[in-house]
Amino acid sequence: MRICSIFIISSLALSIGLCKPVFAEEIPNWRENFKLGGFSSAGITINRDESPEAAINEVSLLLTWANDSRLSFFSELELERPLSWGDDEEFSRKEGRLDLERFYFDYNISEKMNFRAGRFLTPNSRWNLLRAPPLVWTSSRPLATSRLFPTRTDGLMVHGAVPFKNSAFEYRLFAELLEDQEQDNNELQFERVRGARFSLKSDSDIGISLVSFTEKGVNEGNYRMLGLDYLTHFKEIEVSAEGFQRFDTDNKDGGSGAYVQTAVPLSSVGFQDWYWITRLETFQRPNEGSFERWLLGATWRIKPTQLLKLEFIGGSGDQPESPRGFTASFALFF
Amino acid sequence: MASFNAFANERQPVIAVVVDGKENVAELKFTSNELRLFYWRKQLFWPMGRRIKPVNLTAEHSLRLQFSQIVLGSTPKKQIDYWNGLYFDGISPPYSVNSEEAVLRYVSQTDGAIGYLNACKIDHRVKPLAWIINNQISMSEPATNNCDK
Repeated sequence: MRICSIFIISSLALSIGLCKPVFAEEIPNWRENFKLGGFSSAGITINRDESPEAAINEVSLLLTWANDSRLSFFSELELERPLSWGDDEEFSRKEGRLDLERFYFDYNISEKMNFRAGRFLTPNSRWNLLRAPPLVWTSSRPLATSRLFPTRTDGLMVHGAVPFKNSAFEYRLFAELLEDQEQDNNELQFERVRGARFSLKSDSDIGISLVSFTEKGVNEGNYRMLGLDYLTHFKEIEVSAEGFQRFDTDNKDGGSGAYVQTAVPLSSVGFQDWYWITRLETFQRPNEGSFERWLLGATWRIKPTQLLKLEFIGGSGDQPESPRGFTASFALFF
Repeated sequence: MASFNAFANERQPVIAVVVDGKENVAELKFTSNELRLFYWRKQLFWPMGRRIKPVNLTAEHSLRLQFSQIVLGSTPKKQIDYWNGLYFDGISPPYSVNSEEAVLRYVSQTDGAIGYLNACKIDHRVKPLAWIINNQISMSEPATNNCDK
């Protein structure tokens, strides 16, 4: 509760400070190089096997700083579940948790190469890089994008984009330097993370990721992982898919997962800005078995920065991060 | 159909891609594919380490629609998901202004700026480095800008 209060007060103070009106006669100062934004989502879940729950899932602040130099800064500070309603049938702030999701400096080396140092999202999956609720069609995240690899890395990255025919070829090479000091018992633990991602942005987006890491815990061991992702549009229908395969040190199967998802606009049947969402998932990890999930839902793009999502999830096996049942949520950028 | 296209091309203005008139253009050479990266905000710096500051006309402006379709391959409306994705990484879309005069002022008064406008409206404040003519990006100056039409 104290963390929530500090977060809200400091967010307001920061917003007021950074959003101070600028008058023409004022001399530009350092504050003008800051930009503050963020996103939030809230929803209700009626699980097949558990009690219903409702929550503000997160309030995240995005802070950037850039002036005319080669250096820039970015951070994402997230307050997870600041308010929730569940088993005890009353609203509670006890699940609230402050988390520094991203915090890094970028330095431009040349027009095609940049150097990044700090905490960043591990660039080994399209979903992981665009995981904000206002950017994805569904409230739930495919299991394969969260339970097979480290979702963020504290370390160094070299990245850039170069023209390739009529499209952009992007590369990211990264390595972990520092283990995550804030260990959450529910999260999988990884170390010695290093890898690369190459993607091509044109009419269709294609990405390939190669990562190696050590997983701690039940499935302790060294793994290498290959990831492929694809997104395209076919007659206004968005089709996206990702697949991951892990190998252990003996080149044996160390876990895998994949999903394919479509978003079909419903404007032709009179529902302007509504999209019908279908997703199929498969996922397996050593010592955990395999799981399948199907998702059917509808998402209303109220504004370009606001989504209302309704979805049913079914499938096999229990996974706490992918409960089966009904979920409704609202997400926005601010 | 052929006659319609011919008519459309005839009516489309030549667009000039411009930088500040005081710039040393030899230092700001770029290819048509690099121009795409500037406006997708995938390439953020000029070769000398200065920030590239692309400027757009507003999403409804006819020149913006023409530029967007030819350079980026889609209309501004279709790019919403893309810009939301970049916002999540703290990168804003190019700054937008209402008029070609505003483009001239922004480009001539902002270090590292690049913009576009009807080639007939260029004045001493800017230098053209590329042109959009007949639905293509050209790095050489066209024989005519069709200014008398």
